[in-house]
Amino acid sequence: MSAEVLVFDILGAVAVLAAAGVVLARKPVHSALSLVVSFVNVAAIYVILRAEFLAAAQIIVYTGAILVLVLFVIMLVHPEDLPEFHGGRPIQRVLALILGLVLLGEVLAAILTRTVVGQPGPWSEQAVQAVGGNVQALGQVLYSGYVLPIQATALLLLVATIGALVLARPDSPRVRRVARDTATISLGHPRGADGANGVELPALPPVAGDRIKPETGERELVMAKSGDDFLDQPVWGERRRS
Amino acid sequence: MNWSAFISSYIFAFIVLNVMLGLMAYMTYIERKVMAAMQDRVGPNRTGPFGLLQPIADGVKLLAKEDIVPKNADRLVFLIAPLISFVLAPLSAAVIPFGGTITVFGHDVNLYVADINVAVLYVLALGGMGVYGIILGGYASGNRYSLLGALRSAAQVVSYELVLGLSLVGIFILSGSLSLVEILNAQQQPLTPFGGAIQIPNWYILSQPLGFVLFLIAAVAETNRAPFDLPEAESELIGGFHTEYSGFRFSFFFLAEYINMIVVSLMAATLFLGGIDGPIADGVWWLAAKAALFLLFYIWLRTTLPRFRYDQLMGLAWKVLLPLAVINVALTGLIRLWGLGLL
Amino acid sequence: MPVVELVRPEWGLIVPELILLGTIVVVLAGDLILSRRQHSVLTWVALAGLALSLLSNLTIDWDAGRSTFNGMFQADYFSLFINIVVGVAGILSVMISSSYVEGGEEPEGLPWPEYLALLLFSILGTMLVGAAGDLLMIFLGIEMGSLAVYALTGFARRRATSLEGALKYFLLGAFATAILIYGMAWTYGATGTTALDEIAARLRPVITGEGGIEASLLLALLLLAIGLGFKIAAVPFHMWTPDAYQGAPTPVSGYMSVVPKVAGFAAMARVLVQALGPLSDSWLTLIAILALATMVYGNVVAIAQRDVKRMLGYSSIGHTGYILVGLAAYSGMSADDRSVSSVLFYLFSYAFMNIGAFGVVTWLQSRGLGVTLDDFRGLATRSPLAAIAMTVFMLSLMGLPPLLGFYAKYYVILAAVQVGLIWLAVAVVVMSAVSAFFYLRVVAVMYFNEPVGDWKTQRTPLLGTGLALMAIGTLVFGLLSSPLLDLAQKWVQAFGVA
Repeated sequence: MSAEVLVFDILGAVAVLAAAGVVLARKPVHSALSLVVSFVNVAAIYVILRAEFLAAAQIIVYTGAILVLVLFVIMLVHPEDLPEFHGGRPIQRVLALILGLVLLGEVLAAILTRTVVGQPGPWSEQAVQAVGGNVQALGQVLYSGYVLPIQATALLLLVATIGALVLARPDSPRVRRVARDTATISLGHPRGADGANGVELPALPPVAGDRIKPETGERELVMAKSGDDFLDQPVWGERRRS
Repeated sequence: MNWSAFISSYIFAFIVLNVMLGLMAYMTYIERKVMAAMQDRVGPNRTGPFGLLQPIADGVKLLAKEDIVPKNADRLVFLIAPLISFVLAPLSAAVIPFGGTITVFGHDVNLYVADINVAVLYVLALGGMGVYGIILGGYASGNRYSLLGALRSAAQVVSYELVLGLSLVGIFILSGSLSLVEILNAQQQPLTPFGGAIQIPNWYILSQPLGFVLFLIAAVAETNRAPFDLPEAESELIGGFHTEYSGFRFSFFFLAEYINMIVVSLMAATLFLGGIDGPIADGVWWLAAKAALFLLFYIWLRTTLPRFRYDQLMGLAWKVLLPLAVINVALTGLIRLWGLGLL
Repeated sequence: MPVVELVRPEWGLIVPELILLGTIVVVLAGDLILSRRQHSVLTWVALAGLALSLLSNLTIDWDAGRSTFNGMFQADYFSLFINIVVGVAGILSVMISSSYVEGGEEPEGLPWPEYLALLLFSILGTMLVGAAGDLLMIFLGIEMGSLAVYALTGFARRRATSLEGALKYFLLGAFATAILIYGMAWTYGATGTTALDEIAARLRPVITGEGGIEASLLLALLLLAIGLGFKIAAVPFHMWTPDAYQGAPTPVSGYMSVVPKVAGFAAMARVLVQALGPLSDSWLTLIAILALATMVYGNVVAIAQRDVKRMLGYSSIGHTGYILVGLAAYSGMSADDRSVSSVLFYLFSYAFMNIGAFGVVTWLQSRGLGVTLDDFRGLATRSPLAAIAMTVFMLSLMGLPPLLGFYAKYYVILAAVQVGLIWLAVAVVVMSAVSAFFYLRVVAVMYFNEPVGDWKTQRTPLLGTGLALMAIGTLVFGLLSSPLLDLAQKWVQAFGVA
């Protein structure tokens, strides 16, 4: 067994274990962390396969951006508000286990009986070296044969961006202005709450469920909670007092 | 495997790592002295001559302090987080070329630890990983100030890493490579416009001025330094992500921040200012001088600029820097395509 | 040095897509420049763009069946027909949407330019699926279409049902995408290529060889069928459908009952027939069972629905079943194989009937009524024209001659009988009879009940025109079905006879 295979085995084992950790961890943050470990190991496997660019892209895009955003969202949500992760009826768990095993069996069978293999592609190691390396080779392929998919991917991301913007857009230009003047990620000191910016915020009614009529605009606002409820939040990670 | 090359690069890595740690210690001293001078104070002057032993005293103090783990903390993550920051920070230095190849005792020794094909991406990737120390540290502290620091850091890094990466694309287009060694080599051929009447160095700061400015801004944000130090913002978040850290775990964060500064300065010097290239006697001293310039710039920024508000920070990244970076990439590409001979 | 030569793409072949993309850019720019009041200009921009895109199909030489972008994009008769279907569906959708979205049927109104942009993006994605020559393009096209429709479903985000539908659609859709791409990965692993024609070419010798088909191909086939089954809402992958249809803004429901379905079926035809055609023995049974389960479930459950949008949602599941029958009748690309052509023709006719039906619901909503069966009471006395239109759509969905829906079903049944799938053909007929119950109930309520609720007079010229067009189309295209069918029949030429 060459050293490369040994390293691959270790990396692969850690990646699989970490992937199991994603599913088994009780806290969502730990799941995300396991995913980070798994991704980094996969990136290391890419390095063994002489795909340095892919490895770097994997780390920059997945661990550096996507999982950071995942963590961002997880941390924004109070743990109490998260759904029960290991809930579900017993029958569901049993079924999930059985079906998972069936899928595993199918995949294993497919792998073990595999005989059809495609021809090796044109990019042998020498060919990659001839154009100057992994990055150059990838660039040539992407911008010749795969130009259309690349552009389509760009459009796809644009669609996703527009969709996300539409779903998360501020209510109307008027409200947008208030939001811009008040919203910061800071603790309990909304800017403009004192009306210094020329935007009068409605005074919060004392009791939850109260209705207030803003000075501008048509709709009544129903207060979900009184202001005091927000002050009486448990410390992060602490159980909420019932 | 070529063992002599392996061992020589190992030894070189050892040297670089230790020099970095030593530099980092005295970076804190220099920062305090320079800031003091700018603010018309004296700065540390009691420990040793001119206070020169101050960093050592600080180090001893931090190591000797109690290592506190808050009751609310997510224990394992809390303990690991500073290590992530600290371990990843100096790794980036591995790809920075401190010179070409020299011959020592009959062996060829490269004055860089590794010349990898995707060096710049490697540095960016490590930057992206390093932020986990901050995010996890903030989350695991079980403190809401820390959590807010972590949240800010996450948003900030995702936004500014984009700008950082895009600001460098112009250089990639011009040099045709992602390897720092090759980018350096590309800068060492002087340009000879006007039929060779004058020679100007082909430093990318001249052909990529916009890219340079963007890189500089994004780099400050990436290293969480003032005026982009919102994750720790002592006046509103009481230290942010490291509020709960004490003793050597705090010092790990501290070390990581300074090492990141040094690495980014070296990067900037290599990418935009021709690295070891100088008017006379090319060598690592030129790189050091250029990096020192950037480090002083960092300190200068800290003493002069007030901290950004959070929404200003995000607005700056997404509405100003990112469009400018895209424009820069497009312009560079077009110029390269139509072959203006200068570049 | 195997450097891939940069072959200059033939821009002429993707003119319809480019025009649509240009329209999207104009719409998005218009969002920036125009004030809210001027947004209705964009309606005409979008309609003009869609019409131009449709017309530009005339500039392409479809007989050549050329492909460009290194085989990623195929301009053949199949893609032409898909272009026509989605172009028409797009125009009709825009017509029924404008009054609803701009007129403030939803709390706080909806942003019209973004709505248009997403709608057009989804159409563009579907066109790309239709013209895809590579698994990669199929995936990208489907995703472009789906992502836009997820957002459109949740467009009325002040309404919990809209968000609920969008969330269910999104989660299940994302899951289905994962399965789909897993199947594509297995296909690639088994054949070593993602180009559709190349896959078929490499599979043919494998099939005739003695080793039999291997497990990895079957797994790939299964995963692909499941992934695409989600996209077309075939039972048992339909769970998102009723909630998404009920929750989405009504014109969106109409749109999403047609165009994403077109994308799904186009992908099925491209993947199963063009690429995995040599494996047809393995997937035909699967598709036939799916078809039966889908049409039975959809039509039976639709009976119990009082909410017309939900009822139409279930009925669309039923129609998915009918269309799948067409696919199940694939027999191996002889010149008179009607399988894919019946699918194409069904999709074309379905665009008219179903967008029309949702259009009438929109019409009611713009007059202050709800979407339940009770709101249809006495529509005939209040608005005879709308009632006639709805009657036409319902009868056509049911499959009454000489309306368009009858011909659609007729060709599907014909295709099934041709290959000896008599039981499936009988099932289509029986299920059409079952569906008469809930389709005719709407008609009965409109004509034989007294009106209830307040009726507010409203002028919605574009919506009215659209409804009229669809009703006329449902009447006329049935009679003119043979040229259309001839065009659809040219899919054989597009996919290359085996």
